[in-house]
Amino acid sequence: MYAELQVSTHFSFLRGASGADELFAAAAVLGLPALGICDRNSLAGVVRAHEASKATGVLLVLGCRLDLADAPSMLVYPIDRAAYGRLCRLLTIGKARAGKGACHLAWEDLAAWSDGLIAILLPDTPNDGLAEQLTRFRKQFGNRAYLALTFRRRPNDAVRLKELSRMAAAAAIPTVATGDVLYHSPERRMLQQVMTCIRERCTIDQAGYRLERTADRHLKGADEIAHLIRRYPDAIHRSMEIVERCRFSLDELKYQYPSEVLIPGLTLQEALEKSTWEAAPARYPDGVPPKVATSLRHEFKLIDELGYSSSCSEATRGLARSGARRSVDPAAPPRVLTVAMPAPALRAAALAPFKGKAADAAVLPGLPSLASLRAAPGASAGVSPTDG
Amino acid sequence: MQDLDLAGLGASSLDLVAERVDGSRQAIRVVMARPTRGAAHLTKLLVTQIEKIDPGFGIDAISVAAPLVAPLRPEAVGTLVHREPDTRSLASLVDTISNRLGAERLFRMAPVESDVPERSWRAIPPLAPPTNVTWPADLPRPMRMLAPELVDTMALMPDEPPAFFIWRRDRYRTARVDGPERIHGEWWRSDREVEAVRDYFRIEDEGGRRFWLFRSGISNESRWFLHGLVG
Repeated sequence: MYAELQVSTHFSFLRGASGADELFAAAAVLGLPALGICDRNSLAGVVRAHEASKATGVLLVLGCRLDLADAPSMLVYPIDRAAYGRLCRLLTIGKARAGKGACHLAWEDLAAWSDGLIAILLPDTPNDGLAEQLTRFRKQFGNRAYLALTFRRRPNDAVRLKELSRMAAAAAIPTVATGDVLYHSPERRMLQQVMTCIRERCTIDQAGYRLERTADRHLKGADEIAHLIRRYPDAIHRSMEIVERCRFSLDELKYQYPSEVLIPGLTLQEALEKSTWEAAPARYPDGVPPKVATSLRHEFKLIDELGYSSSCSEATRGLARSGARRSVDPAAPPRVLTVAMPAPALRAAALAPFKGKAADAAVLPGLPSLASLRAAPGASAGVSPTDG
Repeated sequence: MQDLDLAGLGASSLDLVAERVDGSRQAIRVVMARPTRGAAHLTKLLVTQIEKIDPGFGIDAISVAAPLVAPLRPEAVGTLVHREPDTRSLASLVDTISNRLGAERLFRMAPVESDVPERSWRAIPPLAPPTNVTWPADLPRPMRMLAPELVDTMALMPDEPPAFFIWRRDRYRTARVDGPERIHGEWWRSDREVEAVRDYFRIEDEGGRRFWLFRSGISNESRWFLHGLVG
């Protein structure tokens, strides 16, 4: 079994010549179980790849190619959600440093954020410099370090692969076969070459050696790879090992409110309930009506069950602020924001985090709301979570 | 020569026209690799060609003209090889040989940025300044390149080298191989090259001779050619 772990989509701007949908469809036809998508210094293509993966059933191994200023380029694959976060942070650092459209990263940067990243070093030529790089690489990444073996259909490939595999063994780094894919099917080569000319600002006649030096860059099936890299069957099987190790999927991502401690010693849920009960008498000076109390308890149960207490933290903080203000200005109108946000509205807010305002979500048509709460006196005034 | 000297010019070519007594004219032309006004050198060049003139019953007059001239200042002489004192004599040698063999037969090869072996060089004049293109070190090419010659062979698809091949009626058995090196056609040059692909192999036979063969196409109808002799 072979999984292609070095695939660029057209999010590697003016380098990759196929979209994720084309690549995954081709992978399905070729019978590849998984594709590793790694665009240059970018994760921009992963959403399309995620969708294409779902549509075709070919697994997505999400990653990124990092071009480092002072070390060979690497493919990095986060093994879990936390490592994905670190990779995003690393890219943010590189892009902030380099300005628009560029990314400047050095080995030190990668080393600082390398936890939980599987790294495949992309060697150029086997030489003494590479041996030093490999030692440093192995020390940093431990058993998450791999060396890519790519058959380029260039002269001396066999000698180069043999030497690379010897150096990898000397540095205790396992090798893995990759195809360095730029397009899903052979006839895309022409488009890729035209894109290269656009990138290099030249005509195809002038392009010369600026065209890809290894022209055989389409997606290949397991049979062809097995034939090309037949002396290194372990390197082929290890591609599946990496697929097994990288369990992270975009499905794990959801909008996460920052988890914070509002009241020391209490969970967010407890803090929410405590603040609400403390604020309620101010809203209902004559005592909280039983109907409202029932509703509140119902809401808390719902919030707890759905795990929305953290998304209520914003509202809770507003509550805390309004409480603080009240202590300064007793005449200020009390607000019970949490109570004023029916659970379905909260749910809508959580599902559409970029809509921003819970208030917008609350008035979305068709959403059921807890009529009892909306009917409660003054409650509708509190629908706006802004602090006035 | 004095005129050239005064004008600061050198001759790039010289025409010698002989007017025979029967009224016909015969001409010889010599072309110089770089402008010159050295009388001895020019005389020598003309003398080597003079035998081409058939004097018939006699020659009335001979005129020599310089139809192509170029500025010739002191620094123009020594640009070929820096700090080489005998640049002038190299130019004289080039002139002597090219005027004898024909100008188009004496040339230097300059690299061209193309992976297609036939297109990876072009002819430039012997004393043209060096170009800044170099052949990539990772693309070894044979010492002698031939026009591709069809060979008889048997090889397995898709990527296997031939086990033997027959070239010019001799049979060679493959002992060692490097390859394939895949070279695609340059589709922007002609429609026929859109699909063209060659897989090159360096093959050492049992006698230690090394050959450069390619398979044209990747279908079962592909044919094999010998394209060069390595080392």
